Amino acid sequence: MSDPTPTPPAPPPPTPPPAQGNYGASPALPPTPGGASPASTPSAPAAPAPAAPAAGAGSGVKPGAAAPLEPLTGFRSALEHTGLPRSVLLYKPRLPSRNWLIFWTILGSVSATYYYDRSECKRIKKETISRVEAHGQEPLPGGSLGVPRQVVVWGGKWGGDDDEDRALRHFRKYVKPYLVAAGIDYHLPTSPLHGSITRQVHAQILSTRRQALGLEPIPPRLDLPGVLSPDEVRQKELEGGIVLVGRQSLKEFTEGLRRGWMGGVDEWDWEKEVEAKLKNDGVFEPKLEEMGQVESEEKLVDPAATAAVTSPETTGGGAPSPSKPIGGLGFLSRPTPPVHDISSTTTNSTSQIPQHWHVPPSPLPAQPPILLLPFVSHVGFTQIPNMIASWFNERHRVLAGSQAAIALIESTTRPLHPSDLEFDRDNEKYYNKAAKQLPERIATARKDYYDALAPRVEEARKYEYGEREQTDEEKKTGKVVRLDELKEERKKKELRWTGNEEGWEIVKPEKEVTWDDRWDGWLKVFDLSKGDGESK
Amino acid sequence: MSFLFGGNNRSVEGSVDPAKVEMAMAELDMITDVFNRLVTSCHTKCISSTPNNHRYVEGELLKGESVCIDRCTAKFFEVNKKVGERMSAMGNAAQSTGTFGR
Repeated sequence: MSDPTPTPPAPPPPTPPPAQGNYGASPALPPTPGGASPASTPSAPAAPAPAAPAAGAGSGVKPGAAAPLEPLTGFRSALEHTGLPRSVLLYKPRLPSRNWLIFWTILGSVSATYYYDRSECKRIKKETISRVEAHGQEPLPGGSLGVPRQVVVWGGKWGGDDDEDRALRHFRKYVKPYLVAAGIDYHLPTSPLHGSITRQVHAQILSTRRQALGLEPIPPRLDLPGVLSPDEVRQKELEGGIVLVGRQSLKEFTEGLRRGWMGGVDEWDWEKEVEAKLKNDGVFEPKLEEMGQVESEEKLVDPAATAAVTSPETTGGGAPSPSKPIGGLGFLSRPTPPVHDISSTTTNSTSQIPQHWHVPPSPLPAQPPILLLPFVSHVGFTQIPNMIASWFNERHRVLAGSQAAIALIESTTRPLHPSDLEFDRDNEKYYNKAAKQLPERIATARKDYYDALAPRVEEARKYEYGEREQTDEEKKTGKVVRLDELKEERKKKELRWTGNEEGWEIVKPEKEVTWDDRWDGWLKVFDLSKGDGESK
Repeated sequence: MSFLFGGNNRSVEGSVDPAKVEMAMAELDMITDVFNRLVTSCHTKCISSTPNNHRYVEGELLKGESVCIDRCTAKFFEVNKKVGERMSAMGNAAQSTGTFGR
């Protein structure tokens, strides 16, 4: 029964809600403006009115117009005469309106998240650098002619991302600073196409093997101080390491190892291989137009046929390698290679090389340890949420990078375990539609190109055979497209397409990482778990 | 006449063409200049700025300094080459059009 009595008092104060509810409504705070402009609001506050006359009479200065003011109490009354405005004395902090609260809360939490994230990044980076920089401050063995440790970083193109430098930028951002601090040199070969890593690794290994067998001349060594002997170079390489950025690089790299070490030692050059295939596909053959429909049909079929032939043959048998500069080996296309096709070359060289030379070396030569650096590139409209999330979670990548760098710098290695082949598998689901449709897109591009190419070839040939004069437009620009230019252009395009096609076959999510049972215990990886505990 | 011939003979025998000497000197100056700039910038970047209290602690290069210098030098020459190419392209353009630059 005692409850009802306390409850009634609670309802009466309905005044707080308006005060807290609407910020703009001034009636909620009459006392404060009252001090400033007493004349304008004489009748507004009903309650202060009775007390006001006394105050007004007491002051006696403005008897008639003076608004009735509530007398100040406590320390406020003491401070009233110091000249502090009444509004200051009567100031009561209030919450801003609901909308402002929402606004400030969201703004505050977003910026706090960002700030926390970046300050964590800075902390991790600073700690890691202070941990590893001692390595960089040791004197270099060998004095100023000594060669520092160098790692090779492979960052493969991410499917669907036209920016092929993304993986290497990831490395430069998250691992490189520690290598700089620790005085480790790094080498970043570019890989502009899918499969570029495979082809480069393959070519390197092949040339090593061929040089060892005496099939290829060993490049002469400059006899200068500071130039290492091949053995020392090899030793340095083993001490260095290989950084593979992302699963796609791991796939490409192991495939390159397989093709290089497990394949034969026949001479092989990817560009030559592609060119040999292009040579006799009839795109530039002159007869078409005289021979009528039969030929033209054949010609229409040709590009597609080439495409079909190209991919299986190269992926299956030989292997592609790229390519330093794609246009750099133009001289190869001129006369030298046999006119027929590769098979003849292959048989020729095979007959010269004893069969047992093709057998992979039985204890495989040691390889530098491998560092697996997780990497994902979010591309496309549907992955915008992931991009935003990852923008607020920079610290995870920084941490992963610093752990990787510590393992690399401190050289804690362990044998590659088959479970390492699962590395980064989760990130493969982020390949977007454009990536998965790469073969179809290339086929379309090819078809369009060859359709457009045929008339151009025709024009160029007619001009070269003197069957037509320059057109007005050509006279104006002073430039006529020649057959050779078209051939060159077509070769470049084919190299890109073929390379990407073959590479995607290696990289695509359905394909597992290449593995050979003979590789058990051959490869080593840097052990991230050891750096882990200490860096925290 | 004999004076003239003698003069000619001497210069042929000595085979020192003043113009060539001039060019060689200019080239040497240029190379020295490039080298000096290279040393200054890479020294500033790699040696002087390393930890304040560690300056020249060791008689030999430190690992970090060595890597830094290697890369700095490579970068310097690459930029030098690029700038040179660009300058000569601009020079050619200037010769053909008569105005330097754009």
